[in-house]
Amino acid sequence: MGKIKTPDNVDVEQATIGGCLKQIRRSNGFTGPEHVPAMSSIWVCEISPQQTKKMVDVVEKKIKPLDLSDYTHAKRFRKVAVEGTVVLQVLLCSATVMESKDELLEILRESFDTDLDAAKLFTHAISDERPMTKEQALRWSEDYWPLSWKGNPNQQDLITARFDLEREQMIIDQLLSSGAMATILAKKDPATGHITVLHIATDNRKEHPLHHSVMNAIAQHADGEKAHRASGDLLHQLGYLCHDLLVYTTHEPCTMCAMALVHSRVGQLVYIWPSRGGAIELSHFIGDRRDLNWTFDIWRWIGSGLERPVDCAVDEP
Amino acid sequence: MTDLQNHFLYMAAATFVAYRALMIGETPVACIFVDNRTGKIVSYGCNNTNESLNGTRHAEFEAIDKIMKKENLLGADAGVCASHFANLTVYVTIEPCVMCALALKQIGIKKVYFGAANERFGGNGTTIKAQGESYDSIGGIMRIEAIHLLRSFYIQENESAPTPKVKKNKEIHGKEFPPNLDFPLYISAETFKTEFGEERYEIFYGAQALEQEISPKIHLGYSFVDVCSKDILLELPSLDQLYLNKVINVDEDILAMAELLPRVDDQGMPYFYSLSDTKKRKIDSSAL
Repeated sequence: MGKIKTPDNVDVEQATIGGCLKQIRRSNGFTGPEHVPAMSSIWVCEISPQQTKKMVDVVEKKIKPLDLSDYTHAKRFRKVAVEGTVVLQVLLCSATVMESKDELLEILRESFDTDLDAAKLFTHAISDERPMTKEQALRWSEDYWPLSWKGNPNQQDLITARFDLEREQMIIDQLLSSGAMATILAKKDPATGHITVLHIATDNRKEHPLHHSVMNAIAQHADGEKAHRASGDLLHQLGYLCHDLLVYTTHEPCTMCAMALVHSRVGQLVYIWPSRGGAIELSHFIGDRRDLNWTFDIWRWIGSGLERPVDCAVDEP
Repeated sequence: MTDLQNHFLYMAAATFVAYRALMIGETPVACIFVDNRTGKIVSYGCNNTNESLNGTRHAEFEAIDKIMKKENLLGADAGVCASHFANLTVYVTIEPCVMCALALKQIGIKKVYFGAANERFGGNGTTIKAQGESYDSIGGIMRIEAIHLLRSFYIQENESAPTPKVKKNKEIHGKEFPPNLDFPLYISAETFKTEFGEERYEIFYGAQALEQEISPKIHLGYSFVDVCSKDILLELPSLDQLYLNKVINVDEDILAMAELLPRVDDQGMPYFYSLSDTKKRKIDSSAL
């Protein structure tokens, strides 16, 4: 595969596109050697090289379907010399998939009969984070489980991201037109890339302290979905929560709202102003944490529109 | 000796709501809000994400919204609202998630008790301590009961049963529980001592992968019937909404829960009810 050319409007150093969108990634701040990655535990099985083909089959067909974890950054096999002979260790699945060794053995024995003994099955640590530098990749592979290195993943995502900046500007203008703290939920057609605005909600915390614009937008979407289902509208495809929807907010969401976006399975967040109490770049990077089960792409709008005043007399958007 | 009976009584009520949620097809996570001044349960909530199609409708939000309506707090001055919630204590079967942990802070709650840690999303210390220093959230009360109810739910889902039937299931009956909480993640040593007493501090605080459970009286086991009271369940506001057919049968539920839920022995170890136990320890239904 050839190297992807960096588009002219992308500034890799600043992690920006067209001077309008800045990529927000927790790991952009963690490239140093002192950084210890978030880790989890995996089941590993030791086999002889002759068993490889069978094992690949078992992993693909029987074990992977049970595992929701993403190990695309890791290698499936590693070679180890045990008493002078080469054996292979295989990453089977996340340790959370099977609580006991017996459960896993049962599945393996369906294919391997008796030539797999329990002693060759153990748990091992793996970095959940993708390495940002080659040096990190080598060190974490050495210290934990081997990882693959295909270049800095943040930079790759940056140069392969596709935005229609004119359309983005229109959505930002619509977001700002309410003059209040607001959230837009939108949908991107996967075939054409066309973005449709579904809901625009404003902050209503004077009525109810928890009715921030993000919470209101999610509720609007749920109510709409309920109405569609109740009306028996067959043309309307059933949606699951806010799965893969695009979210635009005037302010960096607070911890409650950012986590609400995680629970709602959104696909992307663009916000304009970082804010006190913000749970993305100013504190927890919610939305970009693999330990919270769901992640989405996060961008900060740095293009035009920022000069407009927006009513924000509160601490935590 | 610190007697935790009161906390167990309230948590039993929250566990009951979770059990009813399970019976009506929702995720069995539930909470109750107790007024500190009267000791009365003023609201309850159970997870409502399936019915609402809204992934944010967790138990805490359901309970908060009932109070906002009932107490005419909608549109009220922020200070008035916060001072109302400052008088309430939350009992929730599973540690509030990151979203709920911050919602409780923003609404003005000052004290939370929970059962089991929320391994994936816990917002009072497991993944993030989202509330900061705004309130203490004290876990470990009826922990294994909360876990068992959740396991019962996932088993049900796997079988995709058309009507929820909760019964002993050999896949989870007798299954081991994950170790007790790593308490320093959630509360300070001082808070632990104040809440649970010096005697439990020695055993539980900072212990690694402890299998022992907290019981109302140290060195004394318990089962659900020992800690629950029918009276407190009948006090639950709009109890009938937890019964789809509106036929309230609390006695039957308490007995069913006593049979379903794991128990804790005098050493603090979990065990399950089995027929052979009936000779040793018969459930005394007259005690209800």
